Amino acid sequence: MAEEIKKEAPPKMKVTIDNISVEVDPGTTILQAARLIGGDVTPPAMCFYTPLKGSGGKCRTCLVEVSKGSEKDPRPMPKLVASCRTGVMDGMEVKSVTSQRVLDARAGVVEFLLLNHPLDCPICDQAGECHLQDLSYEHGKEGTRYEFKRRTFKKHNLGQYIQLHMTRCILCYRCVFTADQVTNKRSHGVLDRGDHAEIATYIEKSLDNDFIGNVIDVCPVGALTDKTFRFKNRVWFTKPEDAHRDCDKCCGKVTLWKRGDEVLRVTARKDQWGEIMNTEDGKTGWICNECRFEKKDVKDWVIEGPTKVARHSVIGANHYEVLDKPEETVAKVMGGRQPKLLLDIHNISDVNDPSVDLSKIKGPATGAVFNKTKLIQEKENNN
Amino acid sequence: MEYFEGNGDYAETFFSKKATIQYPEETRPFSKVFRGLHILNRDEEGRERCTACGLCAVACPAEAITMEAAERQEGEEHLYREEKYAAKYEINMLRCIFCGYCEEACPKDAIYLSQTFTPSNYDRKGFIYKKKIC
Repeated sequence: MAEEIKKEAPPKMKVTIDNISVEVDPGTTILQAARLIGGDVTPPAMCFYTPLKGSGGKCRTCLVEVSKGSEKDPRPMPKLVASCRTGVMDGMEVKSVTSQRVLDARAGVVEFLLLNHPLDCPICDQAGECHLQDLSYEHGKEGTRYEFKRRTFKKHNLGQYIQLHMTRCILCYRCVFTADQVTNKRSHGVLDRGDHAEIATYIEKSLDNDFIGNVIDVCPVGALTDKTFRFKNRVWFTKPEDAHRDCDKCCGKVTLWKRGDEVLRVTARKDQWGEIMNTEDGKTGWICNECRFEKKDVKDWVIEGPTKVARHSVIGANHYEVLDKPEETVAKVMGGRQPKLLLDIHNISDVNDPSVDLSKIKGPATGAVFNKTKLIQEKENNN
Repeated sequence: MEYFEGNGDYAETFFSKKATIQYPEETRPFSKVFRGLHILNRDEEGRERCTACGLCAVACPAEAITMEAAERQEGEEHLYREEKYAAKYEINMLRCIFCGYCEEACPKDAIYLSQTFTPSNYDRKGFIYKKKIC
């Protein structure tokens, strides 16, 4: 009797990935089961994005070997399968990093993805938080055998907020799903076929739906980047801080990327897989364009604390734990007297000029931004 | 006996090769791997190589390098090689320890450590090396 009652409970499926067993609900994919285990076992994913329905199955980086189909049918699957689209079966055995076939396949996929991807990481704003960078570093081979010209595209202008670099696109379709599922109207898509396929709007049309900014967050590479943050700073020199505000359109929970007190960039909060986190009510924390592009002032936000950054990440280079500024002690020690001589670095350095607030500039800074202020200063000095 | 020994030492030192050189007239050769004052290179066409990627700054253990990037505008293609360039680039020579990590980190072959010393100076201003704003 007792056994029968047990069977009525929702049956969990046992799946073994790289000799580590985990019990998951039916309908879970191999990728999600592997993410429950975490660590090296987890296959990389460039196109699959948990909050987006229908995503996955395109990039082929998450290939795994199924060495035992299930308890009932123990035959192995003949080919490597895309783990983001393959559901688990009870008793399934999967090989991820323990299989040489899988490692070879991933290296091959990386090589293919990098065929047409330009190596302009020094210019790209995504560098430092780019999934393709991580993927090629962790799973790729050192060199490329490709000798031909990389594909180029006619430049499309997607409006004042979003910068499209089509050459960097790996056609993961995440942004298309985002526009379909998060915004009320999709006005961009993938045009043409095969090698000519590109993300574009048909007629030169700016993307200005209210939640369209989220395509920047879901883009695994630097194809879609924030124009208001463009070239303002490298990601690893900015300080990520969790913050929130009352927004009637979205959850208002974001990460601010600051330099000093300047808010250079606002993004949604992301989890360890680079996916937008759920808020407390279990919904995906998409943020609206107003929060992302218009609120570039610290006063707009309630700051919760520094964002936790993984230790191995380059963004953790300027690691810090607390937000308290150290207080000035000179006056305290000297009985209230202020220091007579202060060596302010801004007297001699032009970098990070207090009179230039990069967060207030709409687009990328140009040479004129820095020179103009110089001219203004000189005029003031002359007067 | 000791008298002769002492004088012998003296004579030996007197006629042996001197350890010092007459500096301004004579200079010692630098080692091939000497790391001196930094230079920011241009390419064959005279365009700036540096693209303000920030790798030198993040590699710098002394945090001597700071920069600010700007977007290349139309008509500036002959000045800057890439879409982005360093509008401001500063090296604080008071901080620099001449480790050469910046040179190693640079993906664009832009920064090099040359075969000269950093000249001394009396005030702090002279130690902040920047790009001249034209």
